[in-house]
Formats: sequence, structure tokens, C-alpha cells
Amino acid sequence: MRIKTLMRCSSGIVEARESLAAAAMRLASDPGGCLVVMDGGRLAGVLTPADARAAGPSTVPCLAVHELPAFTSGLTVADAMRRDPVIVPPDATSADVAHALRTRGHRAAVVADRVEVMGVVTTTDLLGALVERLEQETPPRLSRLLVAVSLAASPGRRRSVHTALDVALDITSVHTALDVALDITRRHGAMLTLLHVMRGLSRRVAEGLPAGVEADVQRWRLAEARAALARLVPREDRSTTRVDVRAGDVVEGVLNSAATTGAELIVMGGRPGAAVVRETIRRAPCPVLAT
Amino acid sequence: MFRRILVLLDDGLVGRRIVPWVRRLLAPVGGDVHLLVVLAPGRTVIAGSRTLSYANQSEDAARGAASLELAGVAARLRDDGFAVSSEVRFGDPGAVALDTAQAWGAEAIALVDVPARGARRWLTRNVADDIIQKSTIPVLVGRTSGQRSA
Repeated sequence: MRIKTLMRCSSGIVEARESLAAAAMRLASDPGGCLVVMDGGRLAGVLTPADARAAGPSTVPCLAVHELPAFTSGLTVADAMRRDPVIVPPDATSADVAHALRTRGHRAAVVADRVEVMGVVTTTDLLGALVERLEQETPPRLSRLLVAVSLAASPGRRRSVHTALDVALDITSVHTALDVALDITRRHGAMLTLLHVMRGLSRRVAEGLPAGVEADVQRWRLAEARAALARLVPREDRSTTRVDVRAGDVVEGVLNSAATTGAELIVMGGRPGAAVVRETIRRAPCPVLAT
Repeated sequence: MFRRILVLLDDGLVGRRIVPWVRRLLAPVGGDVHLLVVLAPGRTVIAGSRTLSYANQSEDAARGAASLELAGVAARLRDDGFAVSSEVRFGDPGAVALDTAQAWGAEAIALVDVPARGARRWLTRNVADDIIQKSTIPVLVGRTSGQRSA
């Protein structure tokens, strides 16, 4: 990438003898920017917000009180600027500029065509270009999805398992979380995890550990829930769908399942604005699609 | 699957985190993306007896700056083959986003949840909560930090 496509206008041009405090105020409105410093019509250096901060009073209040205000207020741009700036032609590549900045420990380079200053490039700009390049390198399609279904229909009684899940599927014909997730899964060729979290289920039973005689009923409920979830998935999608039933808190269950499966997208249904959805959004390791 | 997504952005870099996810979500099917920035309404600035700028002037300046930012985002999405439109509006972000989504015929809304800090947490409504609660279409919500990048 040529630097002329990446450069931006400088935050302004200042004279080396100008007050540092005034220059710092100009930079305050553009935290990622930098000022080009001229001295008698000649390019003398660059001033970034970090340079201005380093030369100014201490940012630690208990240390700053010991600094004489008269001393710091008398500082000029020349005292804080980076002399001998990195100057690059507009046709230089971003790699060349990054290399030059890294080698010389500068935070900004001046883009100049012979003697005319055309713009500046800061490390923030170069990081932005790097982020874009990394994003383009990621596979364009999603590979793993997690859909949490029937969150509000956690079965408290034996006979409610089928009913609750089936009703949830019927009443929301178009935009159920499962429909949306299956559609995305098909188009992306992704793997889907169909999750249901049961509040009343023993964690040990859900994990397949022996938990005593009373656990038999819970095991039956677990098996019923798994079977009910499996029935929700159309036959043609069963090879790409995995059923997961977890015990305990719903939000924790969703987050744990997302972490375990490496989900790139969580699809959730439930009541609009339900606390479960909001809490999941605030803590999820990936974006959440609330249907 | 939805093909028309309204992307709600802010006037900074934070909201852009959702754009790569929208690109990935739409990658297999292509689609239309509408970029929307909703800014606080402009205010008349008065110093003493002089009016320094009128509300419409403030709004024009803010619209110009936001449009410039949007143009860069839109150009990159167009390079990926999406049909992109953009718009800058003023008002309550939640209400404006829902109105625009309905008028434009969006099939989903995408945004980044920016949690308010300090007293604002109690004084203002969270935009993402507002939209999720009132939206009749799916809402894709990302976080400002602590989340994997696209």
C-alpha cells in the first residue's frame, strides 16, 4: 500500500517558537494527529500528543505540585518536538514508513514531495491499515455458531419438555432463533451447536457423572431434553448440528458453551429485551444476534 | 437469511467494530448495507450577546465530518461487493435507527453496545437495550472490547 493513500492532513503547522501549551491545546482535539513544526520556513520537526505530554507537567498530581508553573508555561514547541523528522515521499510503501519509524523511534512521519509538505502518517494510521489487512485475511465465512433456544421454557416438570419446545417453535414461524441460525449455518457451511440450559438439572448429571439414586429422574429429563432438541433440527441439517444441554444459570451456560465450541456468533431468542439476552450481550466472547 | 442490514455507527471508531462482522455475515449472499450515524441535535452557541453558530450550522459541520468518515467505511464495503448507502441523522439514536430500519426495509440491525459510564448509566437509556426491546427484526450486537475480532 502506497503511503499517499494512507496519509492524512496534519493537525496544523506551528512555528518552533510557539508556546507548547497552545500547541498541546490544538492537539487535544485530534488525539491521533500530529503537528508539523516549521522554523523560518524550513521543516524542523513534528510534535505528537505523546511528545507534548512528555515535555509538560507530570500527570501524577502529587508530583505536578512540585513543578514550577513558570517553568512549564515557558516551554516552546522546539523544546518538545522530535527534531530531524522522518520524511518520506508519497510513493513510499507503508512497510517502508513503518520500518523507518520503528528504526528511529518516531511516532509520525512527514509525507513531502520535494519541499512541499503533503501530509503526515502516524503510528495510529499504520495500525489502522494493519487491522484492515488482518481482517481481510480472516475467512469470510462463519464456521461455528451457537444458538440458544427456549431459554424461557426451561422445563420444571417432566411433561413440559416437549410442549414447551414445540410451542416455542410454532409460535415464531419466521424469526425464531433456530430458523435464523439454521439459515446462516446452511449458507456459511458452518457447524451449529443447539443449546438448551436447564435450571433444575444437576450439574453432575449434565456432565455425565454419577450423582446418586435421585439422579435417575434427572437423567431421564436430560435425555428427553436432548431428544426434543434433536427433533427440532431438520433431517438435512443434522450432520452439521450438535445438541448441547447444560445445567445451571442460563447466561453462564451460554457463555461456557460459546467458549467451549469457539462460537463466532451466538443466536438468541426469548422475550424482547429479556435480562438473559442483555446479560449475554454484555459478557459474550463474540457478537450476539438477538432475534 | 437477511440481506439488508442497517448498521448503526457512532461518530468515532468504536462503532466500526461491528462492520467486519456484518461483512462476514453477508459474505456468502452479498447484500445491501445502510450505514447510519445518529448524532446529538446541534445547539446554538451564544457567547455574551453574540451568536457564534446556529444549530443548523453546528449540524452541517457535524454532518460533514461524519459523512467523510462514513465514505471511507462505505468504500471498503463496496470493494467487497456490497451495495452501500449511508446517512447522517440527528436525534435519539434508538428511535432514529428503528425509524430508518422500517423506512429502508432493513431485515436486521447491527450495532456495537457502548455501555454508559458514571452517572449516565442511570440517567440515560442504553441504545442497544432500547433497540433490542423495540425492534421487530433481528439485532446483531457487538461489544466495544473483550470480544474476538472478526
